[in-house]
Amino acid sequence: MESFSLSAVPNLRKSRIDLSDTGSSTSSIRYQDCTVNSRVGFRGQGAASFLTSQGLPIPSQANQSLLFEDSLVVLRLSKTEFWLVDIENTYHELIEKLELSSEPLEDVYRLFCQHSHACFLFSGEQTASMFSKVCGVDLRGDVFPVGSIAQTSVARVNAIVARQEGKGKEYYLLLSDLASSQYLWEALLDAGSEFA
Amino acid sequence: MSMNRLPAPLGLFVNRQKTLNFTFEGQHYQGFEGDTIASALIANDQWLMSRSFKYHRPRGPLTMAGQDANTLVQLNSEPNVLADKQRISADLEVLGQNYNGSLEQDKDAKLSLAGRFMPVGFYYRAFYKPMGIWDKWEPFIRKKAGLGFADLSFKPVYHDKAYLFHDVAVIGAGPAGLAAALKAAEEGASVLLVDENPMLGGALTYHRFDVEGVRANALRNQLEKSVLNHPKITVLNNATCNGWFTDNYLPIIQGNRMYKARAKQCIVASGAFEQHVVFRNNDVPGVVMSSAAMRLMSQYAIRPANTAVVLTGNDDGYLCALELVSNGVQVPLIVDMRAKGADETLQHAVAQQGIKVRLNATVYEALPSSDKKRLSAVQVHNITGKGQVSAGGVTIPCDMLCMSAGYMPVYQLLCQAGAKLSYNDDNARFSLTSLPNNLHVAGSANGVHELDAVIRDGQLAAYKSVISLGLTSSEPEVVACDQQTNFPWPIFKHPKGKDFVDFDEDLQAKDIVNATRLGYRDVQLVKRFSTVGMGPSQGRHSALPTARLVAEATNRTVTETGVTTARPPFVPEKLAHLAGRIFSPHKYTPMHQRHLELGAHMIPAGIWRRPAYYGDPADRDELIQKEAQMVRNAVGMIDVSTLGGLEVRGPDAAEFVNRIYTFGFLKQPVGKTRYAVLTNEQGVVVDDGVACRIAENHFYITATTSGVDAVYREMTKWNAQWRLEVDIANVTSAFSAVNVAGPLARKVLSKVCFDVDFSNQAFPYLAYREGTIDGVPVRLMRVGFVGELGYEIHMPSLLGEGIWDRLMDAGSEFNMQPFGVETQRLLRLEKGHIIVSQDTDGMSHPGELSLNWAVNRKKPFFIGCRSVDIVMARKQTRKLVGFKLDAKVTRPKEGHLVLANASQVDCAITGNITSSEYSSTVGANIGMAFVGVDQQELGTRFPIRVDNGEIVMAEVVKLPFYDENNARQEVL
Amino acid sequence: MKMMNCPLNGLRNISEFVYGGEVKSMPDHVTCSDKEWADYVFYSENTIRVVMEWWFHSPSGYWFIAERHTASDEILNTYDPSERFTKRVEFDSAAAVTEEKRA
Repeated sequence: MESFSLSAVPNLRKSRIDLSDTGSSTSSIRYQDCTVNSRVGFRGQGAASFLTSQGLPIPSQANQSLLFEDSLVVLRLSKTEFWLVDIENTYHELIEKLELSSEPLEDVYRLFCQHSHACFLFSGEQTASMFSKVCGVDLRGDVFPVGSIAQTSVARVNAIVARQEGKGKEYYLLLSDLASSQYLWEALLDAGSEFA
Repeated sequence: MSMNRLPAPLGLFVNRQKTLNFTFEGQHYQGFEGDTIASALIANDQWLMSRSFKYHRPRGPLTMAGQDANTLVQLNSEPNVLADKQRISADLEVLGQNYNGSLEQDKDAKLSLAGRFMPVGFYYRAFYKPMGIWDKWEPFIRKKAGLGFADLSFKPVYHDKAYLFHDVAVIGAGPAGLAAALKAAEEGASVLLVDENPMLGGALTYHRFDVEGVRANALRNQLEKSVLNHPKITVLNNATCNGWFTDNYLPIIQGNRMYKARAKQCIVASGAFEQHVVFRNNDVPGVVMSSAAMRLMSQYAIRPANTAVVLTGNDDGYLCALELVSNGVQVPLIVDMRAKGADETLQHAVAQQGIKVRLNATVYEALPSSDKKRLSAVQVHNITGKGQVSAGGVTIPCDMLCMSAGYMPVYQLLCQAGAKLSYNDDNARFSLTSLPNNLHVAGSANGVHELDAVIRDGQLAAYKSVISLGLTSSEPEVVACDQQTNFPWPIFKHPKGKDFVDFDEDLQAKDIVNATRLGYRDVQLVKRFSTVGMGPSQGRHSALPTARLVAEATNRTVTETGVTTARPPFVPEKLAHLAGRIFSPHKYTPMHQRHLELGAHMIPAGIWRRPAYYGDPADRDELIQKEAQMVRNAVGMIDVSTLGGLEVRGPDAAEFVNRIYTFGFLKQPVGKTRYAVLTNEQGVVVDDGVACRIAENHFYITATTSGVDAVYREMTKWNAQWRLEVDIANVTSAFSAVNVAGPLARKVLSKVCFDVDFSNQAFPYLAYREGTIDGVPVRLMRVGFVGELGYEIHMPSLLGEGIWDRLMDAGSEFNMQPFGVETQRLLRLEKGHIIVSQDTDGMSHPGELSLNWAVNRKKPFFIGCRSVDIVMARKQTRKLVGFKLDAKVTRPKEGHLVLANASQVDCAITGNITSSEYSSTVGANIGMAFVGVDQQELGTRFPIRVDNGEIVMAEVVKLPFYDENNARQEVL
Repeated sequence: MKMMNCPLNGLRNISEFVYGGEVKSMPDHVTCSDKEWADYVFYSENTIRVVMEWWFHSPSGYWFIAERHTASDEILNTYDPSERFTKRVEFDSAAAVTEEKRA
């Protein structure tokens, strides 16, 4: 047993977000649902050295993220926990390979963020103002620069918010419980609706 | 219609270019854009705006700053609006409130004559006997003493909240606040400046600070320009900071939004409330604070009267008199309560204007016009002692009286933060001490009144803030100001009363004194008994005279007497402001859309939404029985994605699980599941689930839907102490799951999952397997929760809906349908399986629940093991049993009480019903209940008190109700 | 709203945290008296002093220890539990000790 691959059959993944609402939004903030994109997490004493051995960069401190190539974000959530998020859904093979090669390692535990969390992307100048309506952490650019992570509460659900940039474009990445993601999506649309 | 306006630059708040029409009490009026309802009415010489709460006396504006209840009016959609705060808009319809008939002709005004029959504490004393009489009087009294009416057909409008993050928040944009904001910003701090007015400046927008009357406007313009141009200052106008909460968490209401400001430093420069003088008829329209008269002139360009008398206890009254005269108001007399009078420059200036001054005198009575709706004269007497006046007085005709008895700091936010307000009985000055770290006070709130000192005090507070922020280290000098502004005893009781201490509640000086005579010495008790300070103005004017009167009546100082506690909110706030967008998170399973398509009746299950059953709630009972029969006779499927899921991995996984749960897990074979009961340290059963051993070092454990987060916290907390080599992950949302149950379940599974042998030998009861369905990896466990052959299939959530569809498709040839959680509850009840937190409570130990078999007492430790030993060794008091009653008898509901004895009405309660449902399989009403230990034997009949006091008798029966040998789930 | 400094996430609204009770030493559950056990499970000193408490940062799933004054409510210090619990705890021997004294 333990042959359970969380990266299996990526083409069958289905996000539950009802995107039909987004069309009517006049917000200048761009909302993107990346829930079906690939991601994987690792935790354990050996997680850092495992990722390094696989040629991936890792942030030096918790609650920071780094970019690998153009669009693979490496988030460090604690001393021993790392998540890899594939922003443009182009790193599936690498992620599946990482998942499988971590299996025999005793001090590396793969995490379940592929299926436990929804993944949203927000861009636009007013994004931080939108967040200030739902989040008690100051996410404005001058105090929350690119590479920052806040594990906090957004619209009363737990979320990981990271600020990153790729191809010259800055964005906020949000990961939150998949089961409440429809609720959160609607709450964030509502919060952003005033920013035309 | 007269528009009695003064020339510019007076009228800072109004735009003369734009005229607005509105109605008050059906009459048409005009005002300027920027006018409040009150200023526009006064411009039209309409002073009467409301009727008082108790005696229905005519009332007009007192402060023109929203600090009194005299201007409460009714708008179409909103009652109790402050007419001196609410700006007019085109075609606004305004009504008076709290009258019988009309505002002008209030039939209840005669209540005033009955005043002496309504002493302080009247309601408490008059309506408590005989018992129950209050219920009869209450509707009548509420009507008489009511305020406006609520519009029940209102349409909710969008309200929301937003955080603000700043280094320094400055509350109040008067001279102190402006100076503080500028200084803090210049030193590099990001500053939030909050003011309730439409324009910056505070007292600079109305008060006259010098004889010539030129300083205020010049300084205001200069400060405003600097503040608005400073990039580090954010200004919130028309915004009220409505409370102070720990660590400078400041709710600020502006329009339909409540800001939640987080400031590293907070400077309160909230100013001071001008105080009134207590004398007879001090509530007649036209008797106002000096500051109100000055606001009418400076802010609204209104000449407020023809003839005004000034009654003062400080120099500010003289400045007010100068302002009045310069705007064409006759001022025949300044009545100065002090013996010494004002400083020489002011004395000289008023003399030059021909204003007479009478020292050591007071207004003893105000005389209303014949229709009672406007002041016509004041009666001036000499002061002969503290609160005492000479017998004879002179009558001075006037249509306005301006009062300047002194100032009370706007201490509310500061006292909410824990500051102590103290009063010096020698010089009548207030001070605020014991402020928490990172909170500062400046300006008149800090007892500093002289303008240059106020500016320096604001800058000092800014320095203190930026020093705390580490932006600078230079220490400025402490500001001193010895200007005395408070007259120590501006209270002149009149034998005929109506000398109001509290205008909101119609409380007179004698009411306060009488309360102390009735034994209420503590100012808090005086407040509760007399209701002083409980009205809309919340003691802004009544707190100080009350403290003085109570102090005198009880031979204490004002500091000893104190004032009542200040609590948020500072001004009334709407529920819509508190609610904001109402974030109430809810969770959906991946199959949610499918349930809706199938017509499921969705119910909340904790934070989740789950199908109760599929179909119309009107057919509930029928639908549940039908779904249950389908599972018993063929096959059904239920979405159990809400089940908690926990992964425990690592070399110490088995050791860890063994310490957490009551059973033994060290020897659990790989590929097997085991029932897992969690007790807390008190020995109470708090959760249960199934532990699957996936590998030697890997467990997958289910937990209850509502309990999993707490179980995860417990697990991680214990291991923060034990430091075992184990990783614990909450994977509840990562896995969705279904339970395919019924005699045909194997057939359904065999059609979709080809890499698992589903035969009873290869996949026995309680076994765990892994396989794939359409390439999707799934975890399979053979379970018996509903008492039939059943498989739980756990799959990655993003693939859950697809698997659901696949299974529904495979089951269609067996007429498989989904069943809901209410059906599942019935099915498991028939099997006598408990649901933790439904069939257990905060006292349930394993023995009471007959779970002894799931507790391993040979292992060295599990959480709560010692407590379990202790409680199980004690004499037992109750037991969870199964019961049955005839289907025709009233079915008890969950929560109904089990009694010791059916014949006695008030006999002891021995337990309660935890589960109850009709079972078509058993053909009876069945359930589980806690009963007394002497009621637990099989065959015992015990009484249950159901609705309406009816008693029904139930019989204790053996569990399970169905398939006693578990043959159907285990051997099929 | 109060704020607390989480050792992992920094200064946060108190609403992000879940209280986990006082940090207490568990007596030997095999050898202690019933009274000692009841004291451990049910009783709290409830006096004015600095208490050590468990706090959980919910969004990151992180337990830590906070030292708080019960009268002023001031949080004086927060730190990772590994600073206090340094050794693996065993229960198979009679003398089970859950807590190591801070070095």
